Amino acid sequence: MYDMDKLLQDQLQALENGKSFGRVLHGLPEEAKELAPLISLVSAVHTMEHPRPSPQVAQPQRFFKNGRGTNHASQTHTRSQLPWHRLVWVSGLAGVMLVLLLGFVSMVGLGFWLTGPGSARAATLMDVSGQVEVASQNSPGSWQIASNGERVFAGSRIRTGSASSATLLFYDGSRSNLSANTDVTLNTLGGGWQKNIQVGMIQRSGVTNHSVVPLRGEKSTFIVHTPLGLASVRGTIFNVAVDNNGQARFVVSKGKVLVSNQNSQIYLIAGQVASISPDQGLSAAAYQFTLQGQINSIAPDEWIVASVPFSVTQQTVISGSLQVGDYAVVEGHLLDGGNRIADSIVPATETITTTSFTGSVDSTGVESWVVGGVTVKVNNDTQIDNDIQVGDPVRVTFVVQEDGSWLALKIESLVEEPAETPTPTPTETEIGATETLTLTETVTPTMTATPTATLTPTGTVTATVTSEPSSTPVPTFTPTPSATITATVTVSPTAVTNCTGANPQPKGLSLAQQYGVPYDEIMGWFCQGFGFGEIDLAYGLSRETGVPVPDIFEMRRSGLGWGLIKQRLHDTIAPTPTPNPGGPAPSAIPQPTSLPTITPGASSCPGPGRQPLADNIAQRYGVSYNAVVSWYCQGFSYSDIDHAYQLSQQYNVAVADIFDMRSAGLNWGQINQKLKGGNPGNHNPPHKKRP
Amino acid sequence: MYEVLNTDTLVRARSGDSGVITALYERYRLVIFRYLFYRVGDEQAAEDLTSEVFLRMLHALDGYRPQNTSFQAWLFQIARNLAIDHFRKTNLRNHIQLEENVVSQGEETDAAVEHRLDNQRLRQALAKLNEIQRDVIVLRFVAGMPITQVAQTLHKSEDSIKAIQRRGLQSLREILTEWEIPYV
Repeated sequence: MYDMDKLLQDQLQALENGKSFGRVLHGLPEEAKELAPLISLVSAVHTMEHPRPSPQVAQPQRFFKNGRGTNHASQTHTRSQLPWHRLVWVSGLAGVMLVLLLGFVSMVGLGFWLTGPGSARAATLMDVSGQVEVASQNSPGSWQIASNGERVFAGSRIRTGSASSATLLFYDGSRSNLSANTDVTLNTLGGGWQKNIQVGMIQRSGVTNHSVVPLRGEKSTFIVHTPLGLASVRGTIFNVAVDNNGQARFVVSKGKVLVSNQNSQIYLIAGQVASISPDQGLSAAAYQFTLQGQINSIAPDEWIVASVPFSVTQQTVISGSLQVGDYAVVEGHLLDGGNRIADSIVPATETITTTSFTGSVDSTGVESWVVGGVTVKVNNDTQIDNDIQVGDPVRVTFVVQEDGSWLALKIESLVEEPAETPTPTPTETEIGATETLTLTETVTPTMTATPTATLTPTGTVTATVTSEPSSTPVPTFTPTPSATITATVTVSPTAVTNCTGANPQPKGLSLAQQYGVPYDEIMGWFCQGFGFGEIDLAYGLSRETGVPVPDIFEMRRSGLGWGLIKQRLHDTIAPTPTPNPGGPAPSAIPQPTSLPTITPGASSCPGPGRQPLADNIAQRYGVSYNAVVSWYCQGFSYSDIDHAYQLSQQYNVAVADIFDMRSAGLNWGQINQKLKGGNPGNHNPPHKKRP
Repeated sequence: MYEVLNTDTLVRARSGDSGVITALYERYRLVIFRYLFYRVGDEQAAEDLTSEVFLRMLHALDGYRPQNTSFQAWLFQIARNLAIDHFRKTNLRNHIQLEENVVSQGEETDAAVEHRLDNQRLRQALAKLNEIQRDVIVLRFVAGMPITQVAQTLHKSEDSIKAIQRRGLQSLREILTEWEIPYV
C-alpha cells in the first residue's frame, strides 16, 4: 500500500529537480496511476504564464526612497481615490483606445499565430539562488537582479555569481540549470503550437546541465554554442562546462549529443565525454571517470586521489592551490587501455569519497567484470542493473580495496529505453550552428529561409558557410533580429560509420552478427542518430514483417513512435479477422465500435517516442495505447480522451459514441446530461448559477 | 532554490541599507505579487498589498528571528496575514466579484467555448478551493516554495502539507474538468 501523499510529493520533487515529465509519469507504480493527472496539472501550472505586477510596482524606489521607514501609504491607494469625473474621462479614452487596439490586434493576429505561442518565446527562471542577474537584449549593460518566475526572452543574457544558480524552464518542459559563475545568452527562443521548440544559447563560461525533453517534430532544435563548438540534441541529459580559455567539455548522462566544431563532429552517447580546446580541437569521444576524495600524492605528471592514479597534462585545468591531504573532485576521460587523463581538478566542498567511471562492458563474470578494459570485482553486495549485456555502456561506482583491486559497489546500465529514445538525428540545425554546415562534403543541405521572431547570430553566417578556417576561433555572436535559416541535412546510412570513439563498437558488432548484416550498415544507422535499441527493433521488425529496414527507419523519421510503427507493419501483414459468430465478447469496459483511423497526413502525430499521457490513460482504462493515440491524432486532447473513457465506463457506452457527441458540438456537461437521459440543453451546473 | 538570508544581509537590511532592501524586494516581489493575486483575486489589490508586504517587512525586520523560520516563509506569512485582513475588510464586495467572475466563466463553458488554462481561469478555479488548499497550491506551484517552507509559512507539519497538496490538486483537477478547461 502506497502512501499517496508522500508518493505524489516524491514525484513532484523529482519534476522540480529536473527529471523529465515523461520519466516521472513512467516511474509511477501501477497502483499510483491516479496521480498522473495531478502531476500533469502541476506541470501545466508550472509552465503557464502567471501575472506580473505593473511597472510602477516593479520599481523599488517607489517604496524605498529613503531606505527603511518610508511611509507611502497614501501612494498605494492613489488610484482608488481618483475623482469620479476623471474616472469617466479615463473610461471614455480607454474605450477609444480599446477600439483602436482591437483593430491593431486583428491585423497582427495572423502574424502572431505564425510566430507560435508566446510562452514558447520565453523561458522561465526558476530555483534562483544567490546572485543571478539578467540583461535584456535592449539594455545589454544593464544587469537586473533575477527573481523566481521571471520570464526571459531571446537576446537575454543571464549570469550567476559564486555559490549561485538558476534554472531556465522552456516551453516544452526542457530545463537548463546554470551553475555558479556561468554566463549564457539565449540567442534563439521560439516554438510552435505543437510544443516544438527552438532553443539556442551561447555559453561563454561556467557549467550548464541540460535536461531536454525529446523534441517534437523536425523543426525542433536545442543547441548550446560554446566559443569553440556546439552541442545539438533532440532529447537527452547533458552537461557543458566552459573554462576561462573557452575550452569546453561536454558530458552526456542520457541519450546522445552531436558535438561539432568547424572541422569535425562526433556523437556522444551516455557516459561519454569530449572536449574542444583552442589548440587540440575536438577530441575523440571517450568514456569518463569521476573521483572525489583525499589527494594521496601530487607529481608533475601523475596525481593520486582516493587511491586512484591518473595523468595530468597541460590541458588539465586545476583550480585553487591543492595539496596532499586536501579533498578534491577530479573529472577526466579514459583512453583506450584504461589510462586516465584528468580534465579538471577542483577543491571538494565535502570530505567524502566517491569514485566512478563509465565504459562499455567487455565481459561479465561471477567474481569480476571487465568494463572499458578495466577489471572490477563484484560480490553479493554489488548492485547490478538488470539486462546488462556485453557491449552496453555502464557506469561503475567502485571502492579501491587494500590490495589495490577495485570492488564495484554499483553497475548501472546507461542503455536507453527504446520507448523513450530521443534520436538526436543530425537532420537539422540552424545557421547559428555554423560548424555543422561543414557536413556539406557528405550531405546535401537544403536551406529555407523562414521568417520568425527568433534572434539568430547572423554575424557568423558568411564566414561559416564558406567553412574558411578562422584565425580567431571564438565566434562572436551578436544577437540581432533576423530570419532564421534552417539547413536540412540528410546523411546516407553509410556516410559515417565510426562516431562512437570505439572501433569496432561491441554493440554494433553484436547486432551485425545477430542479423547477418555488415557492421558498417549497423553503424551507419547508429551514426545517423538511431539508438542500438532502435536498430535492434527495426531489424527485428523487418525480419518479422518483410518490410525493408530503410522503410522502417523512414517511418521513424517521419515522427511515428515505435508502437505505431509496429501496429502499421503488423496491420499490413495481419490476416482478415473472422467474425465472431457469438457476437462481441462481454467486456466491463465498452470498446469503440471501430478504432479511429489515422489520416495519412497525420503521420507526425503524436511525435516520436511513446506518449506518457496516452500510456497513462490506456493503463487506467484498460484500453490499448494505440486506441488512445488514435483519438489524439483525430484532434481530441488528452483531457477529452480521459473524460470520454471515464464517461464510457460510468455509463457503459461505447467511447466512439461519446466522441461522436463531442464532434457534434456538445460540451461535456451536455454529453453527461445526455448520457444520464436528461435534456442537454438545460444543463446548468450548480456552481455556475448566479447567487 | 530558496536561500537562507545570511546574518550580514540581515544586519544590513535592519540598518536600512537601501541596496540590500532593494535586492530583497527585487528578489521576492514577483512571487509575493503572484501569491497575492491568486489569493485575493484582484490584480490592483495584489499590487497594493505587495507594496504593503515590503513595508511591513521593513518595520518588522528587527523582530525577525532567522533561527525560527526562513526569511521566505516569514515574508509569505506577512503576505498571508495581509491577504486575510484584506478579505476581512472587503469581504462582501470581493465575494460578489468573485462569484460574478465564476458565473461568467460558467456561461462561456455552457456555450462550449473551449479555452486553455490561463491565470484567470486558474484564479477562478483556486477560488473554489478552501483557503488552506489554495495557499498550499499557490505557494508550492506558483511561488515554487519547497514543502518544508510551506509548512513553516502555514504553521503545519510537512505531512499535513503533503496531504493538503494532494487533496487540493484533486479538487482543482475536478473543477477544471467540470469547467472543460484542458490542461494537457
